[in-house]
Amino acid sequence: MTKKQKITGQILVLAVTLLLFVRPLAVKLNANLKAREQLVKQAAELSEKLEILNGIETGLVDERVKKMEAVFPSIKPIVPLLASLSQLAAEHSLTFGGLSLSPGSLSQEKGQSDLKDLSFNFEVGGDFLRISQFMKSLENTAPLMKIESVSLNIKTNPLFDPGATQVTAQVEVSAYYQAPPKTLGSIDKPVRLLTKNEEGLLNQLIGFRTFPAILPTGAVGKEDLFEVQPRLP
Amino acid sequence: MEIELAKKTIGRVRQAQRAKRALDKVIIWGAIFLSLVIIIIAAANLLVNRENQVLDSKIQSLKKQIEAKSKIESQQVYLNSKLTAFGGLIKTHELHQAIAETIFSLIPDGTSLKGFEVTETGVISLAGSVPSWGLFSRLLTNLEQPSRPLTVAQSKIMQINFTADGQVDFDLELTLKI
Repeated sequence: MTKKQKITGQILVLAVTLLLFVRPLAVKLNANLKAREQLVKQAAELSEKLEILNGIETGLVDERVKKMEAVFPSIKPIVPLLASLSQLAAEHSLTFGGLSLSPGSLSQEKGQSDLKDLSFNFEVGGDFLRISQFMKSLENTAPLMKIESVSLNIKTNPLFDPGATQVTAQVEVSAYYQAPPKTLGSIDKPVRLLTKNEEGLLNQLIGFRTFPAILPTGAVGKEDLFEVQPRLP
Repeated sequence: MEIELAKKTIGRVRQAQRAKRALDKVIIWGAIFLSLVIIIIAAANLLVNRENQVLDSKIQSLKKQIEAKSKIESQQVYLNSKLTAFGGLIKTHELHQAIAETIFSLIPDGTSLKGFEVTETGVISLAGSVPSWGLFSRLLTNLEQPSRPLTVAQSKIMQINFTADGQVDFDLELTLKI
């Protein structure tokens, strides 16, 4: 074998070795390093998320969710509305009636999670002072209501106290509700902590008064809205 | 006298042998170097692969722990989603309450309010009646005084009717400073 042939042979062996062994190994190492980088990032994100979740006080968040559901419900608040209005009127010694509302579907609307309102009218009767106190209390009563319009009719009854002005107030009110998000999203999605402003809003929930609704005696439907369910892919 | 006839040939042969030995050395060292490169890359691959497996099992364990906390997570997601809309509602609610409180503070005792309406432009239309001119005059004075929690920026009398029994029916338009 001549020197030239030997060198050519060596070069060929080197090229074949590089192509068959070194290159695939180097490519695999590069892919593994990239995968490692991603895994390190994912592990850090998940650790942070777990730390946040561990830091959330279970009792406090449970209480806040219950209060939020009472004040700003996820479904049309027909029963709580009727319970609140009738009990609030009775508390202020007012007559309550003439309720007119068209609730439509009572089941949760599919695929909708935007803000919705339910408008209705009712009448309360009594003296002016009690009616004005009722109005003030109404906007701080759960579920969240907004008085859209008020009209007052003076109906003085001379048989009773001629000095006391008997008033009938026709009130148009809007109540608000919003369906909760359907899914949690990917497990890698970070949990957003509440800002100071949002914490302040949650504290305002405490100021809303709730009246007990008349509930059926037997357990119906889903008892725990947040029970653990299999995560969607 | 000794004549070396093969001196040149011997020199060439020795040179060729040296070159051959040097080439052999290069080949051997090259092979060793290449083997070392392959071993190092393979070892690094194994090491990184092992680390990836460890990381992967750590991630799986973290995911399980997070899934165990899914109730808290869904509650937090629920609160976050609700608070965005609730914040906006509370703002309009507070403004509405302030408007109502201001209107009630402006009206003197004895006034019958037929209703008040806040238009889309923020103008408040206020209609009602008072049993006497004196009471209406007090209402007008109240409109000029600083009121709370909001102050009246502009007030306009749209209509006044005097009835035979001295009652004054009024229709006012107010703009509050928000």
